[in-house]
Amino acid sequence: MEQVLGIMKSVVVGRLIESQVKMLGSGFIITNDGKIVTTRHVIGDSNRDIVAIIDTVSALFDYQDITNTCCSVMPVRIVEVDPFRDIAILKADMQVPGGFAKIASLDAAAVGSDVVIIGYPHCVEGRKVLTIQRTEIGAKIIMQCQNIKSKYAVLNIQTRPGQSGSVVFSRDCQLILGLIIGSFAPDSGISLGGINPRELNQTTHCISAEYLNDML
Amino acid sequence: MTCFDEYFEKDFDLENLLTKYKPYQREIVRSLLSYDNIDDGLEAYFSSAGPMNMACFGGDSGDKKSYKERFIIETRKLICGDSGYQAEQQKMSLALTGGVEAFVSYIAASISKTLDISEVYLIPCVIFVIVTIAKVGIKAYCAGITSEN
Repeated sequence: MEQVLGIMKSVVVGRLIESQVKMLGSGFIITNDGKIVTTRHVIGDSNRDIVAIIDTVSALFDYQDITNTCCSVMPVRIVEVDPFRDIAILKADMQVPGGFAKIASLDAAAVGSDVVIIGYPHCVEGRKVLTIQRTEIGAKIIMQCQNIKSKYAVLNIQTRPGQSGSVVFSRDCQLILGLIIGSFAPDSGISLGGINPRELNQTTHCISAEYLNDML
Repeated sequence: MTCFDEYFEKDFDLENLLTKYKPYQREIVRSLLSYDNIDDGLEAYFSSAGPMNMACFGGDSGDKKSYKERFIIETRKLICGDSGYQAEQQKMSLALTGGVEAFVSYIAASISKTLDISEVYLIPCVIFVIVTIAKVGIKAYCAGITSEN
């Protein structure tokens, strides 16, 4: 599995506040010249003090020492943003060695196919743990923002704050299929510890990665 | 009025301008142009956060509510000759000699500093405003600035 996932390079995206990183969500490097994919809602709209903390895939298979709160950060800036699809491309001034998985449409995977999600659940709560979750595509759907329709998949797994911007990857095809954007949760009018109970359903939505090609 | 009056009286080629931008930006601009007026188009853009009823996990919410109003005010000030943007207006005239794309970039960069939001986020809105000016004329576009000030 390490070889298959070796082409994925995950990052935490955050903002520097008084020499500390406020972690905002997940992302992944997509080009050798340092372009990083995340969601727009993770990063917001300001370029001020945005940074990425870069992990290697080896971190995923080792014990991750979460008592070590020091990290190296790389300044990044927003170079592309699509608010209708909630996608942002960031750029770090660095060269990233190695190859990258190809970007594909959700068309490439059938409903019921296995996929993995790689990201940082709970990073917004100060816990940086690169995590892999296996699940399957439960449905493919079309959703709309304003008058632009896009392809999405419903994944049969619950995700939590910090996982927006995580890559959805097919190990079988070695393709990037999607980007985690969140969970279906109409407003309930109730907040339990800041959580809308409707967020706690057992599914997650990702947008098809094909839209990244129009932004790179 | 400003030195841009004459420029906007010339033929404006939207399709040619859009070829300078990425496919997703072209799609967004075309979406904005489907709205009946500039206010509705900008409201749609600045209020967009992906599909409805999605709980977005993590992130930086910012102060999105005021973006539209601030963008409208600052853009009008810049384009219509407000004294607060005197230095920028001179540079904007120079930018125009480099074509509409350079003009769009300059406006987006100037406004982005004031609003503390990324330049690239404003590009579709600036194109939308310029297309509107090309349609209605700069005098009509600038007519509302006195009351807004």
